[in-house]
Amino acid sequence: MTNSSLQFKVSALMWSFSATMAAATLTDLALGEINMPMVIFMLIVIALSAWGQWAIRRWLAPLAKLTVVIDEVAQGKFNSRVIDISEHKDEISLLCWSVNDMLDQLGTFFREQETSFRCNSEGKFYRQAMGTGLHGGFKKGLENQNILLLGMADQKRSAMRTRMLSRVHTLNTDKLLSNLFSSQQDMKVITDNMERLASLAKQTREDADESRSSVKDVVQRLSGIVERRVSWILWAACTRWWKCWGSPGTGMMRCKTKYSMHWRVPRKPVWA
Amino acid sequence: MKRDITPTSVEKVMREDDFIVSMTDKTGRITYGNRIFIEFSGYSEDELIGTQHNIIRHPDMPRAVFNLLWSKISNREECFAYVKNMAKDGSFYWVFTNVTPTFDPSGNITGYFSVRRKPKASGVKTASEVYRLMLEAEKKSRAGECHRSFHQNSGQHFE
Repeated sequence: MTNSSLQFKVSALMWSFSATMAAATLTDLALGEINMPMVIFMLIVIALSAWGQWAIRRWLAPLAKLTVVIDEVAQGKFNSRVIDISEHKDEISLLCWSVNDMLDQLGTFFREQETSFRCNSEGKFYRQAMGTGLHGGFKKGLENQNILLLGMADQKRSAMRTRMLSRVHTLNTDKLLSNLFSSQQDMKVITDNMERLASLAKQTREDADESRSSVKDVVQRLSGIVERRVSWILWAACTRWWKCWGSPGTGMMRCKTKYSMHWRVPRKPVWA
Repeated sequence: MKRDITPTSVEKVMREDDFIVSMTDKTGRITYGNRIFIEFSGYSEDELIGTQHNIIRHPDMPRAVFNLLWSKISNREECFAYVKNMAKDGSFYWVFTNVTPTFDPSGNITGYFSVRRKPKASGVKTASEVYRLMLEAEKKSRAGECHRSFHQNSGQHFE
């Protein structure tokens, strides 16, 4: 149906040719002559035109498929091809094969482009677009794209490196902060201990002072006691001597070997 | 694979500027092959369209490579591989193939698209050596032990 206009034209041509032949034969017939060769030629022409129309329809059939394929390409679908192309290598067959070749180039180009970009974004920088087998502008396009992909890969790598370094730096800083914090804690503990030590030392010194003064006190008291006792002894000895040797007429005295307050003495010493 | 074709030692070499393009449906049946594919495989377009893609599989290729290929592409990833293909007349040709899945607008797989390029000579050398060893291992395990150990062996060689 898509070839209707072309086929219609061809059919019209054929049938007009046949009609002319028929008219010529009929004119001859009307004029009274029956020209057998003419009649035979007329029949041949009619047969040929009938076959011709059938053949033309068959030869033009691939054009319908071609139109479908190219319409799909215009819709962005690169996967359809013309198949069942006749092997006669006529113009239409060659045209169909050329369209197939063109779509092979186009389809491969777009697939390579898509795959290499997708892999690049996933970090698989080794997947470059393969331009082998592509021709001219298709190959050039992929080569340029690969240069771009290399640049993108470099950028991504340096961005990843920067991110990693900053993460390491953050990790480092975090660790540093926690280390400083724990050092600070330790310092505080040490300071507290030092303070306690200082106060203990002060306490000890105070205690030492106190004990020194107590010792002094004790020594004083002891020396006081010693003095008193010594002077009492002397006084007792003196009075005893007085009793024994000094004072007459006291009679027998009671001598005590031990100090005692029971001595009968005439006079108490002043300092007792 | 299904035909009984004897591999010969005739090699066809790909040109740098051309690539073989073929498209299959989800099950692996060919839906399109370009003129270079037709030229190298030796089949006509009619013989190719609708048949399984493994008609060009060369017997020197270990099965594990194709297992890996299928597992990757059914998992929506692309796959690159050095592959040795066999033509209708038994001659072979090495390719560096890239298979990607085709998606419909809603994201379902509708088929696979493969581009086969001229391979690097160093790659072909390495790959053919590896495949030879893999094939020997596969044959040994297929001949001797049970099916389970065959899968284990092929799994090891993936690494």
